[in-house]
Amino acid sequence: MPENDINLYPGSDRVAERRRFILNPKSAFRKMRGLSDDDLVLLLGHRAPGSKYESVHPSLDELNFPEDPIKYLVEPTAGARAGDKFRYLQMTDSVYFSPLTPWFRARLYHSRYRGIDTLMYAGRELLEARERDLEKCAKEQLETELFDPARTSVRGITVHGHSLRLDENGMMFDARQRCMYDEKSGEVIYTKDQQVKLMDRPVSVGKPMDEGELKDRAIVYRPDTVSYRGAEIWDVMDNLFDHIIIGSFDPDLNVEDFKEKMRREDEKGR
Amino acid sequence: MDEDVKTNDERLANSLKILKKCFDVEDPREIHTKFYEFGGWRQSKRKTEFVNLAQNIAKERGFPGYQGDRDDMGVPLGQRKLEPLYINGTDVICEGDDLHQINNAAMQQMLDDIKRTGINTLDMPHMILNFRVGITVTPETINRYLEMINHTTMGGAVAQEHMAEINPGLVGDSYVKLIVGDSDVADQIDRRFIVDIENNFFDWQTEKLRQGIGKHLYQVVRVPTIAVRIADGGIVHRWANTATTLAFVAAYNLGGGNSVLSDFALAAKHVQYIFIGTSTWPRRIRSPNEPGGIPFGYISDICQADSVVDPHDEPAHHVMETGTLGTILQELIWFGGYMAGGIGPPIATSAAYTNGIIDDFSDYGRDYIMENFGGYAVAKPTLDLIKSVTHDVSFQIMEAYDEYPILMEHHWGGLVRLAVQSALASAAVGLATGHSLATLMASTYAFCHAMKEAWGRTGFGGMEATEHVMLANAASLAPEEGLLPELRGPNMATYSFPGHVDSAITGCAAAHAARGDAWALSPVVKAAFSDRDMVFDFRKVRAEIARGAIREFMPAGDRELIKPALG
Repeated sequence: MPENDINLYPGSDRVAERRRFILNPKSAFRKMRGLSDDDLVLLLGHRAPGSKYESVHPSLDELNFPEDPIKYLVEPTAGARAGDKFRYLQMTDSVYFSPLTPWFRARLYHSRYRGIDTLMYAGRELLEARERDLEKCAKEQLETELFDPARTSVRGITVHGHSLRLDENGMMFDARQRCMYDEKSGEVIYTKDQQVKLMDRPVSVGKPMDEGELKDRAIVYRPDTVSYRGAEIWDVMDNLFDHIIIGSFDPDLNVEDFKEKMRREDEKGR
Repeated sequence: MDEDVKTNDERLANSLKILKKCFDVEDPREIHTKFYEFGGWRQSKRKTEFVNLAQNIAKERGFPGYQGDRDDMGVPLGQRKLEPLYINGTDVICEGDDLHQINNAAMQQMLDDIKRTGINTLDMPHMILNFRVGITVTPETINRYLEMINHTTMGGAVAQEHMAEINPGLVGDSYVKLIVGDSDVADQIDRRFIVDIENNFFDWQTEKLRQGIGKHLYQVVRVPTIAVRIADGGIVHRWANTATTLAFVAAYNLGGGNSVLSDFALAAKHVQYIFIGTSTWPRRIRSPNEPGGIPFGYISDICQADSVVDPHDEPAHHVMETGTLGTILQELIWFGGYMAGGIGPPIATSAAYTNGIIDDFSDYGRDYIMENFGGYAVAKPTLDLIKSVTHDVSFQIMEAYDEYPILMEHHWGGLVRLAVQSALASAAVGLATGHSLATLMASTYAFCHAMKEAWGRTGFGGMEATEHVMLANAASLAPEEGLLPELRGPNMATYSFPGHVDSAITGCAAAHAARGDAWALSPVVKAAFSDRDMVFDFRKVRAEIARGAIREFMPAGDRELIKPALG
């Protein structure tokens, strides 16, 4: 829908700029590595490479369901049309400059992908979709600048590690050691899938970005990216806060008039 | 740069020293470390103990249960440093497992002592005696009654010889005392049965409490711990009522079955009865006096830390101790235990009272208040002020997490950081303004805007946080939506996000401590929990929890007397 193209994320600093880029559904993310379809399927661990998608219902074309106006309003995704099972991808994002963070994953998923559900925690974000749709979303994320092999991780279970210090190679901690840094190739190699099952063969997800590159692409405010203090985002948040609070006391109140009145009374008081 | 402005190294000196020791590092700014080389579960004395115990249990019963020593049972334990925890304000060091409510007898007794408390006035029963029965109530008859009710509350018979009595050895923690505001009346009552307001508080508090309590006579009943452990908090007003009515019958020679008794029962159980907690809503239904129904104002009143350190000198002490009590009671035990099933939150909630961090962080708010307002409870609670204090406190805390990776690692969950930040923003606004409603707004700003938008991550269930903490309802006084913070509790269907409870509790305590109030919601509840005969000492919450952690706390309600070995 065209109105979804409007991207109003506020601020003129580079973090805000980067956030707008992330949230723009038309952004073309830079491809950083190639991942074969089989590699992707192995990593996700939901089916064997080359096997058919399992379905939860017949394809929509074959399904004789009661008259439903929604089907004329919403174009089904390929996975929904085929009746695929719902599957998931869960990503953990290190606080140390993972290219995405859970809140922005949620916003990106909602602005970019259709037919998905998502759930957020402090360090990880779950994405659920019909299997073939999920694979499409996962491929875009894993192959592009949205993923850093050292600071972003595919984890279905035992997800913690996002706020821990990094290991000697700059890798985020994983209690289940699904992947490791290969000093010889300089690449990060997964030996276990997201559910910690040993894979038939290792899968490389490429070389980690260097620290400078990660910081340049960071979407978090921090003293070593863009300081919290003085960021324009707070003007918007402050305004939002005022409106919710004042409007909660009196939904019919004109908030700006009220604030002006309070300002005048404050001045009188002084 | 202003020379008086403290650096983070100076402000956080105590907690950084502890963390460096806990993590065995020299430089708290070092971002890199090593993993997988700490000996797994064997690095922990407590887990080693658990493994050994579980092996014996398995041998005895013939099938296994806990198997923390196995690497193939989900996550292999101890792949990183399992850091120990110091309890703030004590020299006690323990492990995270010691702060699980099932492993800590002090936490359990804290809950039990709150649950088993019932309060009612004797005003109406005395009026019934005077006007309906024609008996004159005197200090002597009251003293006789108090002896009687201390007998009946422990399960002693007064009416029938064939009534089975309770073994006193099982219920030695049960008693009844009076709370008396009028010192002339108090002087005539047997002092053994009086909550000693005069000596339990600072003089100014005693004076205010006496005024608040007035001429009324309140009776505080402590039902045996074992009774609330067998049943629940709902037993308390019934137990108290039965004991009260029987004691009136015996003390005043009333006929059994007399219609007057139903008036006593009504007065004792319903009309002039104070529940410590109300029943929770149907989907999470629990009886009265369970932690989910306790309002935030009562939590500040239950905590007696302000009778140890005068809030006029240092309000933050009471705020920190109340925050600890509230976190354990409503985050750990209510949300983590009753609601979530008992596994998970102890480490997250320990941030409210371990490794010195939250106490050091509270320095930010205190300095900001002194620098900008010159004292506590003097700033006008405007939206601009709320935002300005919340911005400053939140940014300082987030900058500290950024600066010290071991601090970020120690507070490893988003909910931990979020709870700490919003509790301190809330407390700072409370201390600055003395206005409890303003503290709710501060905590919701810190929660829903500051950390979320700066870091792009919040906490457990973070996506729903904005709705769950009810920013809109922070300004609503409609009973089903909001209420004043003192009257709120987690007893609202939408109040399901745990971290926010901490900040509501600390904010409420801070506002009243800053104003120099002797209580937050009820002078009677404040007085009731000052009694020295309770098993848990509410003057020093953290120290008591620490005693529980190192297994030095002796709880009540045990069954030793009726176990086979001693039977």
